[in-house]
Amino acid sequence: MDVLIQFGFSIEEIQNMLNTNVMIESVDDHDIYEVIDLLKRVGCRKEHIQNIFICNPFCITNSNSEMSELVEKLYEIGFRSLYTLFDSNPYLLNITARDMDLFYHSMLQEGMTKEYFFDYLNYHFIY
Amino acid sequence: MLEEYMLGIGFSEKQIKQIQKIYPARTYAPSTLLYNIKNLYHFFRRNGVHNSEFVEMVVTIPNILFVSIENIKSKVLEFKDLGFSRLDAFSIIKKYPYLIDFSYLTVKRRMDEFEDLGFHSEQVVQILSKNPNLFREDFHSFRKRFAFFIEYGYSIDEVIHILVDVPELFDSSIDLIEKKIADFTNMGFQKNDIIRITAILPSIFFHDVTLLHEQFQYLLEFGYDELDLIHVVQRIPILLRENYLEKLSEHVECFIELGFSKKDIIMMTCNNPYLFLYSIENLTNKFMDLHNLGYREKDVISILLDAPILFGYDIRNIKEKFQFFQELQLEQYFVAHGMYLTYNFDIIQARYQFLLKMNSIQDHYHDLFLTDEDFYKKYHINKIDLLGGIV
Repeated sequence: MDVLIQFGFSIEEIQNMLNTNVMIESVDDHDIYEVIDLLKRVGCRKEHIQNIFICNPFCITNSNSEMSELVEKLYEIGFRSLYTLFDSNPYLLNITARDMDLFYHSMLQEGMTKEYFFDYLNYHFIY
Repeated sequence: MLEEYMLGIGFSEKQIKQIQKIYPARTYAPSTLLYNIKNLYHFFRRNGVHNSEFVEMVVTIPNILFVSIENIKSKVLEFKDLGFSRLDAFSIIKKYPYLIDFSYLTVKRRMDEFEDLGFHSEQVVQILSKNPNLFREDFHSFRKRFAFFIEYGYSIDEVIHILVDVPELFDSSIDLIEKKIADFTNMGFQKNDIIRITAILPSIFFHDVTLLHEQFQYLLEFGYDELDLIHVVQRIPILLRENYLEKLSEHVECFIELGFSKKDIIMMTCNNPYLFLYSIENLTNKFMDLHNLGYREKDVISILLDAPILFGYDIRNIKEKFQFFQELQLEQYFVAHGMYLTYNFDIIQARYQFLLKMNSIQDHYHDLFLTDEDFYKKYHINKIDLLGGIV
């Protein structure tokens, strides 16, 4: 968990994250770096990553490959500036690429346009 | 000397006597036994085996005292050859010391049997390291459990995920699994929900459902209906972990203390079940952080009802937007539109700068919070261009 301290989280913030997600205790620093790298790759800056980790400490222990697949899926659907999306709704990182794909297609089937789906995900919360 | 040494490690007198009686120990001089046990103890200690684990191992299979360290080393090398780490190998030997007598081919055959079911070799290593007893069991019974899950409706990937996560399920009875599924069915969960929940949280098969019943009963009496609760669990199955489950009622009481009405609490937590996962202290502090920005308590309630996710936000993220709008004397805007506090600050700033350049900011503050599509329709500029091409 040293990486969280180096990243600028206070002890109180780390404690809060641990209270929400006890699994953080057993996660490797290397895995946390991978999550940070992934978020940086989609454009997140330090303040976004801090918000994402504090709001959704589960993303710290989520499978990195599953989150990478989600990112790929969102790009494939047509999303851009993913950092704004994850900063607004950090819980999105808990959704699998498969569930996102199913959700997207079910919305299209219900008559939602692609553009409206972008807004829906950006400005309405799905958990 | 021998007894003293063994007592020092943690053997009981009874255990020492039993070990000394067993063949071939009884044919060895105590000094030879002491020599063996010292060597073996130091060897295992150097490799991360604790005293109590060493005692357990020797009590389980006293003949280990007469196995040469070279033999154990070569067994570890065999495991390494099969894909296990040194740490895994020692962990397996200490949990299931009989493996020292297993041939390379016997171990390999068991691993192949798992791979035939569809497990990757890394998953087999993980399963067997977690539960080395699986080397002992009859593979036919594993196949039966595997088939049981598939017949119920799980996909092969889901079954593999479940069994990798909780290999103990391989040697638990099908009756126990069926009973747990029946418990969930009786609580109102559909087959698909049960598959999804147990695939995400396989350890639920071993949880006692009493706590679940108690907490659900509390929430039902509070005013949630059964469908609300099923919906909440469907969305966040980890809520069924004991550490969260036992605090559900405390969370509800915390929201009451903060001033939320019964109806609001139900709506807010159904909209955002993650609220049940934050600590009470965290929720209270976030409420007070917003209050300390200058909002009245009833305004904070209004903001949080509109955007319960703010309970989880980093307060710095909220403050940044609050201060920006405070300078514009628009901070009261959020009382009716808490959701706006969740908008990414880069987008707000980019839109603000854009409208400022167009000389249209004065009467169009509300446009800062349009959706991307509506902003584009009105101003013919998309989010990417506004953000300076950041994709």
